[in-house]
Amino acid sequence: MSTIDTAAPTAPRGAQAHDPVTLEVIRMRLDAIVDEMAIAMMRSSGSPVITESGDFNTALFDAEGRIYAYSNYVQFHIGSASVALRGLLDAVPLEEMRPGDAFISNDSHTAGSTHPPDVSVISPIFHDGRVVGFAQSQAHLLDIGGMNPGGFAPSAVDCFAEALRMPPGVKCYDAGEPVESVRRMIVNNVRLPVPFWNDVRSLVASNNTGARRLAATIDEFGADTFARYAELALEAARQVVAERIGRLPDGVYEASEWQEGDGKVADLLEIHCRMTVDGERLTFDFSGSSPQVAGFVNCSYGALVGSVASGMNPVLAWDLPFNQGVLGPVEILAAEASIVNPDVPAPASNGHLTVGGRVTRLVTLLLNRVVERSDDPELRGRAQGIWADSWTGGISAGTRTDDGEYFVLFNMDGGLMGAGAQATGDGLDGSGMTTQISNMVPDVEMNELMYPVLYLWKRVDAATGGPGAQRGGLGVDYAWTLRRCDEVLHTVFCPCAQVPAGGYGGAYPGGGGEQSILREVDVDGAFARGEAADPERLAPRETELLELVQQGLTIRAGDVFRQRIAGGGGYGDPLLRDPAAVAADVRDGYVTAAAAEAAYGVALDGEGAVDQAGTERLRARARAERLGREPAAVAIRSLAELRRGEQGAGSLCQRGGDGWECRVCGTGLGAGEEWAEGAVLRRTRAAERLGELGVRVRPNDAVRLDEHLCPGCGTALDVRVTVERAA
Amino acid sequence: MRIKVGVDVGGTFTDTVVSAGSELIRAKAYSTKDVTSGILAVLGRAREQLELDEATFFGSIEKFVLGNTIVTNVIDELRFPSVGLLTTAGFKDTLRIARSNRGPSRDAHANSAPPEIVDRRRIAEVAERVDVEGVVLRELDREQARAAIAGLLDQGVEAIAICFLWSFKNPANEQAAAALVRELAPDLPVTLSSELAPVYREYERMVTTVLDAACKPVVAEHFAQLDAALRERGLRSGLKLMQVDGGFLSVDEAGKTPIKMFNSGPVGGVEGARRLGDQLGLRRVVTADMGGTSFDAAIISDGAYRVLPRAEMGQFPTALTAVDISSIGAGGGSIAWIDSRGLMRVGPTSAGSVPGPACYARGGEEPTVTDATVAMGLIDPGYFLGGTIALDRDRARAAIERVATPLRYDVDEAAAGIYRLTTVQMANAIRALTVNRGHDPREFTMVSFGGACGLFAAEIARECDVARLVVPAAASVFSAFGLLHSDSIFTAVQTTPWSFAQSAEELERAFAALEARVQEWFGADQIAPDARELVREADMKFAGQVFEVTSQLPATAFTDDLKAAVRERFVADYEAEFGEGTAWTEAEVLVTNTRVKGIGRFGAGDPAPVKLLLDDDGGQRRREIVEPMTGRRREVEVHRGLPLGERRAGPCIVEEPDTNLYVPDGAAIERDAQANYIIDLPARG
Repeated sequence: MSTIDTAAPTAPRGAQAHDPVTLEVIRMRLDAIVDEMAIAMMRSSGSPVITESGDFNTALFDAEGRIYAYSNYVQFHIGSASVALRGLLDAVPLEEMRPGDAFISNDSHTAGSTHPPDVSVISPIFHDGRVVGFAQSQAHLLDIGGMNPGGFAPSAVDCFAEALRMPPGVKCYDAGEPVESVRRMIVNNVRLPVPFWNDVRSLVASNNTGARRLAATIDEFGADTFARYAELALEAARQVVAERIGRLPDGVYEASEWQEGDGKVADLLEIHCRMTVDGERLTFDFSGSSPQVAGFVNCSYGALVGSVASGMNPVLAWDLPFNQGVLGPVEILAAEASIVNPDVPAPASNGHLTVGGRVTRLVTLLLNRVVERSDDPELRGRAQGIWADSWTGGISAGTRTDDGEYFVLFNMDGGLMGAGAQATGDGLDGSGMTTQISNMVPDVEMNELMYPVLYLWKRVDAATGGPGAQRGGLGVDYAWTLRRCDEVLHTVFCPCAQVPAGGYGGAYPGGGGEQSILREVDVDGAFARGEAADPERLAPRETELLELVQQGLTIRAGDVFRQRIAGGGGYGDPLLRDPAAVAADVRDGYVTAAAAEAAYGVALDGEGAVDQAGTERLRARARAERLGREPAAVAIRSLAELRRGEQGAGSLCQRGGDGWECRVCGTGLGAGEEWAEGAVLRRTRAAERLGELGVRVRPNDAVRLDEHLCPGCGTALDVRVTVERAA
Repeated sequence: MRIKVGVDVGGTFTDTVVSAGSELIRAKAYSTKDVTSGILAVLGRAREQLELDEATFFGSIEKFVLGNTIVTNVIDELRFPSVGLLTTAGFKDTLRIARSNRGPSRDAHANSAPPEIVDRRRIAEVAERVDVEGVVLRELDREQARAAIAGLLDQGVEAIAICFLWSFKNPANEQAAAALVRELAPDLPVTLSSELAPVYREYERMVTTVLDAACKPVVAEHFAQLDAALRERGLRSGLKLMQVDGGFLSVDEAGKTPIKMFNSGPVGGVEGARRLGDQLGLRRVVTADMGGTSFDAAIISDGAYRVLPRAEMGQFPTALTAVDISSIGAGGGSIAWIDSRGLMRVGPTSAGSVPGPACYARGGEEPTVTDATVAMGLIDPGYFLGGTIALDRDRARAAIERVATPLRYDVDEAAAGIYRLTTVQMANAIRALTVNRGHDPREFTMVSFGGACGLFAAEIARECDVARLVVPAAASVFSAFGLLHSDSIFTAVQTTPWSFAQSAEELERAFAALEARVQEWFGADQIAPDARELVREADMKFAGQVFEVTSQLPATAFTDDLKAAVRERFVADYEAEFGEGTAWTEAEVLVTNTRVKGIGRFGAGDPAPVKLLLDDDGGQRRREIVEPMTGRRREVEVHRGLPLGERRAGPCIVEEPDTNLYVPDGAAIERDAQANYIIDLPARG
């Protein structure tokens, strides 16, 4: 096992023969090029998915398919683009490629695509008549054909129904000219042919920028020097990640996450991962996960790799310019024909936002368990509450009554889920998934201008923040009703409702998502009464709570569609949260007064200020309630003491001379292998128990909450969401 | 004598350029906290050079344009009086959700909620609603609003911002709320989103509205004091304030929308570069302005800079239209450090003005970019600002040592490394501006200004393939130079969704209403009738797109027979922006915003030549320097100024009391008849 390197950073190791400034100059240039590609695409594209939501990526690869540089947008495609490129290298020999060629792909099975609407274009880059690398640009296009507008197909039973499938090696530009036969074939199969091909042009323009600039860069430095330094840049990043892994204790860590059905069956589907730390190597083995299913949640291997990278980057590579070196010490294994590596004909049009998100959550959870045992405080500081990491979808299609235009509203507001709490502070509200770097959602006025909807509210949802010493980020709650449109056909998916995002270090999970239709509301009357923004006072004929995946719904004028989006897990036992911060949260509407009492044990006076004595009583009572008896320990350390000068309190258990002990009160937890053996386990149904704490979770009897409590003081040492496997 | 004055109040220095008869005078003084005394001090220095008494000097001023950092500082530091905000019921969290303010970092510790610009307790929801067509679905609940406003006043707010959904389509509810505020607190500053920024996107509009309200009390205080001090000394012409869109307004008019004074100093610099480009006949100009903490760049094409909607201010996107200036966090104060890979990085952390670079000997110990230039001998420590501030080269070298050791470099190599990384960062920023707009950098001339830029500009230009560099005579006070020569501009804008299938009349009505507002301003700001000019613009896009491109329309009434020409103009502008063949020729063209600019022309005539500050004793100076891009020691010639018309080959250094220029090997420097330095650069490779 490695020990901590306490020496000051030194020059790149084993690197006397090169100039560190030139190395950084070349790295900066490569990063500047992928940024320039991104700007070129954003500014020439018309798709709101690209320009308003940043749902795309740009990258440069070397001739072998290793990533040189990757822009700060969606991280999924670290995996999907790599698979697409390897597929291209297998399909088309380098000697058949010419400058100005571009290859288009979108197939999840053969080209690694996260899902079919994520279309990738790859262009070879030439220098001195030789392929020296590839420019790759990918974006979520508005439609890709198949049975459903927008490319999400809950009822598809196979990938053939989902979309037009383009494998690696389909040449869409030949020596700079569009390949007409391919263009005709593609645009004949999509619902919005003109915008589709315009976006392909944007992707090609982005690649052309990348190809031109990389070739000029190689000219400037000379081919040999450039190749050597590009290799060194990969090695410098690899070394940092390898050394960080080396500072983690060796061992095997296992856990599961659960996909909430596949849209056809409601079963919880297991995603299992066995993570092995071995010296400076890290392996994520997903064998043991559910076989592939008939619904649209199968996660392509490309999306799997991207989901793992998305979870790993903030813990092991948060400060590194991303290149293939970051993934150098990492191995990702998945059984074929499984839910995380499906084969044809498995449908996969929502695998990345569902199972993919769960994979990121699982990686976050496993890394939490290992970094907290590291001797390196910087790595310990990277443990975090789990992010909601699920994307809540509401897709509506209909015809406007004012101008008769057909429209498809793919509402990007679904990206407003909460982040996990961090050692440094509360989780970010409406953050997007971990993978969604640079996430953006549209303004209300933007959506109302483009689509015939009228929003009644759009606000953060206090029932979603995971209670903790640092609170989990909140999801958003919004509602709209139709205007200038009689009815829409509506599809929903809500991937995180029953199995919520867990907390870290004794914190509780965040709340789940929920979608409903409030039927036949007198909207004008509600406005007249001044109650249109109050969900409790809309007086619908009935409220239809929607299934987790549902299509073929009809929303009519007068109905109100409401979407509530999941929140992130907390960090640290909420009874340790500064009562003043809880009072501020209540004042600001981020926590309800009831939850302040139930989850945080904080009593407020009539003015909303902290009632110190009342808070002490409530907190003592909460500890007793958790244990089912009066706690023995009386001396409780404060959060500040527990932080020990670090950013967060970290794990509340430590190993002393006599075995494990609770850091909050000093009570021993036994000398076993795991501290949990000496803790009190309180097992409840998750929805019920979290409901008591003001956190909304959709009931499912198989989903449990395991509170591992200190027998001495009742502090929550770790709170886990677990699932009882069907017998 | 007729005197014109441009004054730029910066963070450290207050600069002025004064045109008096056939002369241009420049002066510098330290900025002061109260702003006014710094301005009076710098004007005193200019007056001494002109040998005029106070009454004559101030009495002869016929144009006085001020750029200032008051608003910029308020927004960058987020230090302002407490503001109350009224919003549509259901949308109290607009500023919190912030369109998901995730940011581009992979570091979850760096993803934090946007800074609160209004305390949550001071955001009040009121029942009201207007829809996308401007139909009032719910009139303002006056009783509820009155109670909400009273509650805000009880909390001691010093200004109120009102931002309702779609208020710019129908301002009735916002106006009713404003009337209630005026009734309850007649003197309290109020900003209505429908007046300040009548364009769609409520988050950006709300940010803009709140920040504007927040600036009002601050600005009112500052300018009342300054105006009184100037009048007391005999100034008769009104003080004018530069705006973020490139023109100035009277104090009265500017005070109505103080947020538009954001960044007015740097805008002055871009305006100066535009004037200079016109004078030198340059078709494409890229500006490079390096200060202590940031590097700003802008593009001027065919005599016009780009004015961009949805400008960013500090860390916020806004609903304002502003001169497009790209800014990166790298400047003289940027600190060099070693990252986890063991490689050196420069910035974005800055030593700021306190403690400042190590060579200032004011307690700074971290190695900064300025320390690198001192350590390399590019700056003579005894001749910084003409010798007025002594620099400590030993401290600079000691600071550089900190990064040199882990890199196994000597101090010379490490200093050159800092120089090179800085240069590359700035060149990358310029490339992003030029290449991405479809331009070849080789078509551009770089105009470099700002105290620190001259030592880097030539290498930045070379790095991004720009072949010619101009360092203006007034480079050290160039923003003030631009302010002095600027015009007055008033912009009226309105979101007006319109397609070419609709009648021209509908669009004309919008333009006519905007023009009426501009005419009103012409009168209020007393723009002379022969100086008045009207420009009509529309932000257009192809149906299905999100971003608009701005095109000019004929200044005449818009009629159906003009449609074809306008459409063609838009397609041409679009392709100029994104490249030939990129237009969505199959898609319909839509208008989103209409805009009328009123221009009051003030800056006629070529700038007068700048007074030379020559200090050459005729003796040859030579100095050993570390050559920046190679890290090798080398002796070069040092010129103290250069006479008009003279040319020198690089490598050399040209020093003036307020300017330092480095001319690399292979390049040549020449001084033109207007005292500008022109540097020709050899092609690379």
